[in-house]
Amino acid sequence: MRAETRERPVTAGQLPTIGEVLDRQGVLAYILLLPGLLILAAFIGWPFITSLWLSVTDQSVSTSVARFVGLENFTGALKSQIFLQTVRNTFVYTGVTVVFKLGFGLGLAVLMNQSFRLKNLARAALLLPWIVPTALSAIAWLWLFDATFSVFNWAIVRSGIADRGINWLGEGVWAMTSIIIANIWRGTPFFAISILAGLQTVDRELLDAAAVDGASPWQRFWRITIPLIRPVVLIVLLFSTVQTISDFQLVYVLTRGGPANSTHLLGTLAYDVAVRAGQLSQGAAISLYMFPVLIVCVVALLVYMRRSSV
Amino acid sequence: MIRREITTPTDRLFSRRRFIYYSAALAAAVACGPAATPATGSPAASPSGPVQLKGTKVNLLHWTSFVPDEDKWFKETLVNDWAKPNGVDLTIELVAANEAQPKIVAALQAGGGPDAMLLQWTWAHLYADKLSDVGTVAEKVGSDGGGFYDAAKQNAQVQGVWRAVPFGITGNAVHYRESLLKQAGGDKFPATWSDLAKIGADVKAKTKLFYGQATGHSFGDPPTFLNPFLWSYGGSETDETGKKLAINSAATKDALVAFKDLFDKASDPQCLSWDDSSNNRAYAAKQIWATLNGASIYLTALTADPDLAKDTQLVLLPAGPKGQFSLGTPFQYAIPKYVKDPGPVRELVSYIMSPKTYGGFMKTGGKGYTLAPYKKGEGELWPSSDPKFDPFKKIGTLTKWYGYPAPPSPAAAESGSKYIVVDMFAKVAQGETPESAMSWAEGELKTIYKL
Amino acid sequence: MTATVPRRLLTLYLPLSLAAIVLLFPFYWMFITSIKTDRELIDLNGLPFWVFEPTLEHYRVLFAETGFLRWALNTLTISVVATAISLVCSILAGYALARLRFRGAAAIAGAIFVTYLVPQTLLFLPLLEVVRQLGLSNTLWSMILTYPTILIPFSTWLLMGYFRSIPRELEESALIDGASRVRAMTQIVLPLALPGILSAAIFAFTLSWNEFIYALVFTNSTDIKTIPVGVVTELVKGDVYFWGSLMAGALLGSVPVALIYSFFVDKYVGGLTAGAVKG
Repeated sequence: MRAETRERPVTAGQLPTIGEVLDRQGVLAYILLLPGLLILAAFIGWPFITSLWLSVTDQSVSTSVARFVGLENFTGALKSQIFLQTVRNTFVYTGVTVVFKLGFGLGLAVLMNQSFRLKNLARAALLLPWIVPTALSAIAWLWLFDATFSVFNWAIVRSGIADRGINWLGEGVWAMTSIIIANIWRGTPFFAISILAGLQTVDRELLDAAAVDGASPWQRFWRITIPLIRPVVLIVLLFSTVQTISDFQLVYVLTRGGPANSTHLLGTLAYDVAVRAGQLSQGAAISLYMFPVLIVCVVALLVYMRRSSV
Repeated sequence: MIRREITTPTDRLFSRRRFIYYSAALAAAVACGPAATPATGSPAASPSGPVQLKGTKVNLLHWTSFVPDEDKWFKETLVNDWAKPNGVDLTIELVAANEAQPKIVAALQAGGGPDAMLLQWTWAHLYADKLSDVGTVAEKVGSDGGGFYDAAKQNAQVQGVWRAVPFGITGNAVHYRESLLKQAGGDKFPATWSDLAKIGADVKAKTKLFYGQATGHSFGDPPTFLNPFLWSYGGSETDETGKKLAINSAATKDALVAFKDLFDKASDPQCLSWDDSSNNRAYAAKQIWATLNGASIYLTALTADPDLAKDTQLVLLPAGPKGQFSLGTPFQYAIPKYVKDPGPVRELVSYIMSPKTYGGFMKTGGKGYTLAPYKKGEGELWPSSDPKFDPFKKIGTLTKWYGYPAPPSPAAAESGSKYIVVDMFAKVAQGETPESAMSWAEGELKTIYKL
Repeated sequence: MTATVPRRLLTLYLPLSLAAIVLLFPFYWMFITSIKTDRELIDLNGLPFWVFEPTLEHYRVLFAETGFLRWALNTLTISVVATAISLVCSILAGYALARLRFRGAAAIAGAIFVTYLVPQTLLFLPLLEVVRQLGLSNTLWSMILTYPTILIPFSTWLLMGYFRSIPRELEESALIDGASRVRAMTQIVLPLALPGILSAAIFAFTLSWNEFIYALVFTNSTDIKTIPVGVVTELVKGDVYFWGSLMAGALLGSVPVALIYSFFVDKYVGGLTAGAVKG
């Protein structure tokens, strides 16, 4: 109300003020961005440039002076069956886990958005898988999937479902399934809490109005809630995809890429080559193969951003 | 007005950042301290000449042994017996074997970190250019100890230069339950792989327990079982020169066929997922009747389950047509080139490795878990009166290295860290034909050896 | 009204309990493992879901024979400071990118996202060089200053989304009222974005709490270790896992945080209602 009364008398004299405001926005924006960009430049920018350089040299831990070798490390990787298998594994792992994490996360967020007794405790408790350090929860999964002591197998055998347990981490497809299960378990709460935060910004009045107009809960959810939380969902989805493609810890603890490389991901293979075998340049090249996929994500995000901000 | 409001938050931020940098610099200064301050006072007597020890700092990166007493020896005995009397500020960081390597690689690459690091396997060959020559220490330790074993020397010496001082070998032996073997009609553990397949099948039929052997991706048990298996049939990655691939051969095929037979008859598919710790647990839980392992299984049983320990016997791996082989896990001390004052570190390594000190270390409880890299270890320094440890005495002479029969090389180390041999066997165990597994391995080795 | 109870059972309590069982079972398992004796742990004849001779030995080992308390303190310090730094940077950057019109906004937003694409497994080796050059290795600062690189990109993007979802009109009317942009930001936009900020804080804190590779590589002494690094490097010895103590460490390294979050979750809902009333 007050704004209206002050705004009314428009005069020509106000035009430069608008220009001034826009000008100020540009300066202010850069001032606000500065701290974040500085930290990123110092601790990612420089090491990343070093890594790019590494990937086109023959640097190993032992070489003091590296030689430029062009794209040899990249073409060399393509000749390795292990690498090709790893790329396939990474796609399967990322694709499957992200879809499940999104589905379960959305469901969980909707559940948690209702009010019930001990809601806060329940919300925090369901975050636990995401809070516990992966390095440690992965060890718990290692114990749960243990060939001899798996409690799942104990249940399977004792309940008579089968007379021998599943070879969780010892058979190609099951090993992949196991790491996928552990990843979904760990990642779902992250989706849930982010989407839950999104759900809470949804205007209840809008939903109530739609309900009055006769929209079913299902329609309200798909037509109103989902479009409103879409920005959050999209960002979470993309960030999770990036995290999952470059996942390392879980596989490193559970299988180290075995059996016979059936669970190697780009992250673990790059680690094996760069750190365990000391071939820094080759490891960097393998890591950088993640980039094309990731760049697609960025472009998708930018396109989305441009569309929504106009 | 406006300006002040704009700058306020950033101002605060800048001062916060400045504070961070100042305090970081301060913290770093406190942490690093006068690292190389030359000390006054009399030089300590030492085998390699007078070295200023007093007031120096030494940071040692070591692996954490499963034998608590071995860790304690480093944290307490070494500090009390050496560091304190010499006035050295000794920090020992003990980390799990798998977590040591990223720290070592990162330190070497960044040009700073621990003053001495315990390497494993053939790492000295991978990092040779970044490690200082420790020839004087190594030669002295070797001659005082009655001569290094060939494998210890091969792993630590790169093209004639000592890049590390051998520290020890974690040997392994087949642990088996005597009672179960007898139940199946055997009286002695089989001496050949084909006999093991036969007897293993009998034991499995009688007792439902199998011969358990890890074939997954893990640093210890899978390669120390499968490499000797390959060698004992005459197979190897390359010929003696290391310049020609030899993996795709009739010998390798024999080994793969024999392994498939052993695996199907006497073992179990779950072994494909096993890591170094799996057989320890499975044996303790009486789920397997035999397995190859370091002495940790027996040592644990001695206190946790004396009956099981009593029933446990230890022997070296069976032989193949080309003889009996073994692959112990070797450890070496290396001093990176970035260490500005290696004198005190050399003193420390000389001290630890002298037969007198090392004999004390071996007696702390490891018994035969960590073996000396030199011959006195199996002789006068032998720590155990329990005859069950005796097979370990032979490990030093019997053990080979990654890349055998060629000398160790970075390529052999890379192939080891990519588990090429392990996976070749694992593929066959999973049902692939020996031919296809062999040609897969050959393809990978081609890119690794650049041949 | 009478129909709502079974309905709620079906749409809320049943799926919720199911989710709770699936998500929390591994924690029950960690707990059970942490109070079993080593002998009972590998006893395959007993009922694995229960403990018959509970023991606190593994907790004793954790506290008396490792530096667990020290590690917990380190982890807490690092996480709090790194989160604070990241939040300040992300709020400022997210606001600028979402609300201000300036040249290169899209490019900068993209660049910030790209930094998130660089895998840590690629970065930790060259990063140690930077950390050493700054004289930070083996200090808590090495982690406090590097963790924001993992945290800022996501937090910034998350907050951009939140800032966007707040109607521009609210802020504009304040501007027209004569408030400065900074005031409009701190007094109108920030309170409304509180759920988002808390969400970003929880995210940042958790990731700092979890981080492994940097903490492993940047530290050289037990005193500086964090919980995940300390537990993993000192309780897996050779080929023996000290399961009981490992699981005790995992539990003690996560449950207290969840308890603290349960208070925050409350605030986070409160922040929303407060914002709604003002709006």
